[in-house]
Amino acid sequence: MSAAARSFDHVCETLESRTQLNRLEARGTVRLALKEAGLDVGSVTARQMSVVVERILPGELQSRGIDDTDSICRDLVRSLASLPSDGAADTPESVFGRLGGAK
Amino acid sequence: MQSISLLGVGIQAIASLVVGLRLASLARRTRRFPELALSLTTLLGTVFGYPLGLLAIALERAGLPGVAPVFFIAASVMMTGVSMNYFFTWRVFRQNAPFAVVLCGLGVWLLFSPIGAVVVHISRYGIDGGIQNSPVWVAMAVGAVLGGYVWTASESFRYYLTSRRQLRLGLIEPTVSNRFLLWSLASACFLAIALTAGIGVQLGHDPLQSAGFSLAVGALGLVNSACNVLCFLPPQWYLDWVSRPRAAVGA
Repeated sequence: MSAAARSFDHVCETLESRTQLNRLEARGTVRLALKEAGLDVGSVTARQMSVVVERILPGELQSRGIDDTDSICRDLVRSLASLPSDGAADTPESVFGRLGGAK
Repeated sequence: MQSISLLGVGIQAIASLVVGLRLASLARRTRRFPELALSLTTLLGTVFGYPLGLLAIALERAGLPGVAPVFFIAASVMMTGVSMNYFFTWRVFRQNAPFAVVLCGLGVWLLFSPIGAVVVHISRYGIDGGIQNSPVWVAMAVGAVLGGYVWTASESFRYYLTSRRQLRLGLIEPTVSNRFLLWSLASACFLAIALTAGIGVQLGHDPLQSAGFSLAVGALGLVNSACNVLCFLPPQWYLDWVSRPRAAVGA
């Protein structure tokens, strides 16, 4: 399983277990949050997912009537940090960062 | 008018040489494929392929031998450059998409398969006559070239649009987001040059003798050079300027 799929699955599974959202709803909610951030499920890194969970997901969960979103999202950010590293994935962002002389 | 065209093409060749060498040096250091593919695209097309094509035309006009072999080398070099553009777009923007593998394979096949047939026609009828006598082969190659530039320009522009949303969350550097736009514009310039030439030929004009074409090629060549330099060799003042709006928002 790729690092991107791992962080996506991790967030979805946590939402399934800690909220009343079913598998489909949890995955749809996270997909919408990623889309709003301009990110793709197939290439999102754990660091990017953390930002989405911190900045966008709380609003998405509240709009679905989920309580205690702050606590859920805080725990998610903490657990995402402990996921194995994304390695040296060659995303378009990293490639274009190198091409322009990024250190 | 032709002097404007020559100026644009000349500046484009020099800019491509500098940018291509810089990318080749980066590829040597990082050992990554995207850098290598992009350096070959930049160097093989404008720096080596195009002048070799002009050499073939000059040989024919001077009545000297070797037109067909030189044209064959020029076409092969240019098509290798464009094929690297296909590989770059696939590996960078659509690494895991099955359709991208098919598109890349089809594009590369369409680029290389007509070369032999066109060169056979050129060896019989000369460059102009050979091209006019092999319309299907020429259409295949031109279509593949246009397709390659449409693909890379649209993928890069799509990434530029999504990166603007990432920018608001601080998920991407403003300079990287801007680089997607610059690469898209640079590719669109090549696309416009190829389209202008294609339409001119279809209308029965000789692009090299047309003042409008010369002006368009010169101007597009200058814009392409500027985009390439700002994308791959950005001066510090430009990086500061691109980063400024983000700093203001974050302040």
